[in-house]
Amino acid sequence: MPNDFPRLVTIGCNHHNTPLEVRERLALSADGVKQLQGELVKHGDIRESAVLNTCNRIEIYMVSENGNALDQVAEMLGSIEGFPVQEFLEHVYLHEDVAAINHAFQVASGLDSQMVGETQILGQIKTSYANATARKMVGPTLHKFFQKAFQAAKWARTETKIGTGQVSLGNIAVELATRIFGKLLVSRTLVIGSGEVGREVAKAFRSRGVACMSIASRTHERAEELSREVDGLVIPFNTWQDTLPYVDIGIFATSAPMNILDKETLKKALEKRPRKPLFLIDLALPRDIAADAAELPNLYLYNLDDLAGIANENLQNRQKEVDQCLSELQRKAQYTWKSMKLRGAAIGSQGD
Amino acid sequence: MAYMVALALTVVRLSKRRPPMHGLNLVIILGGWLLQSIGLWMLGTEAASCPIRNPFEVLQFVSWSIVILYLFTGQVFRLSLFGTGSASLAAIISVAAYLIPGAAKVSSASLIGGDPRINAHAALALFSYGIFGLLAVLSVLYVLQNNSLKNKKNAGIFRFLPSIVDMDAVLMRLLVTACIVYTVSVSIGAQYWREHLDEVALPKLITTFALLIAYWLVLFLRATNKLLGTRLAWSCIGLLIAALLILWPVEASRGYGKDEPITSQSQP
Repeated sequence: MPNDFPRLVTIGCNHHNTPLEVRERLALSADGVKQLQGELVKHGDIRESAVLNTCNRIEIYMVSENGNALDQVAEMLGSIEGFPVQEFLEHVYLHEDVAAINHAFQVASGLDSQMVGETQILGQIKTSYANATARKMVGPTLHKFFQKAFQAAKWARTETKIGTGQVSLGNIAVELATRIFGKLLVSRTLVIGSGEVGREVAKAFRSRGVACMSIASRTHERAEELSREVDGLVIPFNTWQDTLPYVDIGIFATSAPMNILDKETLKKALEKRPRKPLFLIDLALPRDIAADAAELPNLYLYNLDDLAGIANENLQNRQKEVDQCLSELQRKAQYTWKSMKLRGAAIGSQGD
Repeated sequence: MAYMVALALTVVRLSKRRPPMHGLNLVIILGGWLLQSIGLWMLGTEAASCPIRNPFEVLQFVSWSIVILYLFTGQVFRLSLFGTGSASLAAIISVAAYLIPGAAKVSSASLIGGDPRINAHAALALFSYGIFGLLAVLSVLYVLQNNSLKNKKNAGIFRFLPSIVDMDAVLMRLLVTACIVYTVSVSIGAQYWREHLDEVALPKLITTFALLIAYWLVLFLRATNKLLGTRLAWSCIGLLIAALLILWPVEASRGYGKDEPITSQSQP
């Protein structure tokens, strides 16, 4: 690491270099994020910071004044109970200064996303920024860093065609369900959890006229809210397993720290409905459904990686547009970096 | 040729990531079937009976049965790529009929004779082969769809395959129909065999009844939920192969107990 300080640093792991089974071990709970934020605030060598924690990436943006940023982050993550620091270090990437800005622009624009061109990530970054601001972790450098990233994302969304032809997770899930059940008018759907991705997929199924939709969530209010949106029926969370033999499509999107549905339970449910296939969509990370359940006959299990892979099948049609966008974002990142230095944001002022 | 054109047209469309042209495919298959019907009619006129005097005619009749069954049932079931699959199988069987050496030989032993029960038995048996063929075509589509879904493939042909649930329902209906038609065929034949045991070869009897039992067994296992999904599909594919293979002992038994001087070539 160069010796010129302070430096703008991004440290993280994402879906590009970290397999799903590792990502689910690296996923931080809400409490874990708070603890990490607390550690970052306390750290004497870190002037500003923010944490982005999604199902596909964990990234720490910071202005480091001294020392080895990676060692510092590893030490802080190590203080979180059960966090596999070694695995994190095996898959970690580190971007500094202009590279950190360029990376943030790509992330905010959805170009670094698993489903290239998606817009949900921008909302997630805004939430991370708002949380960090609320905790007074953000100073002038990261304020500018985030504002420029949001501008870059807006430019990419409105001035390029990176989102053209991009299909949503919901539409992909519905298309897969159609390949299994044909018309969905008699299909019964169960939604477990009420997170944003789960809601999007549930709405897609409702728009295609599934027969009925049951919703179970640990947070009853959120389940009620979703049930109003999709005209569904809220069932008590502790009874959803009993309904498994009677549903055709299951959408799982809880924030449970481990599997809530194992192969044996599914096997028993399938035995009660031998002629009917079961389509399960696991949108959670860590995954809600044991991966080995996919081996069961008559069961079609898809997780986030699977759906994203299908979504990107048409990426080659947009590749030229994506390449042009990446090139322009790089130019914008260079310009932002120079402007930050000129305005005395005290970043890498001795370097370059 | 028309069946192969239908297949080629679908392959070209799919390679361009476009859906198959069902209407055009149907017209091409119908055209091919009409030409095949004219050919079989000419052979039937020459034979003064159902044109199934030799392996060539038998295979052409099976191919013709597959297509006519598709033309009727395909429009009811409305399963994507079912027509292309049926035309492909019909094309393979038709080509095989041309490639088998000496398949078109007609001997006096080849003639079915004047007993209408044997004519009815043979025609119905080969018609049931058409249903076996459709079952196998649908089973192949089922296996493809299941494997693509299990392996998370969504591009190309897989997007246009019929749904798992629809195919399962049609498989069951075709299986029931196949069992009934084949049973009626064997029952009619049994009436004749009872009276002319000396004219019936034992291998033909054994293989015919074995096939009948096998299809009923598969139907029973499906009805009792013991044979489902891809296992059912593979069973139907295996049974079609077995059914085609037993045409050899059936063909070999022609003229059992009779002299068989060669009289002509029937291939048009």
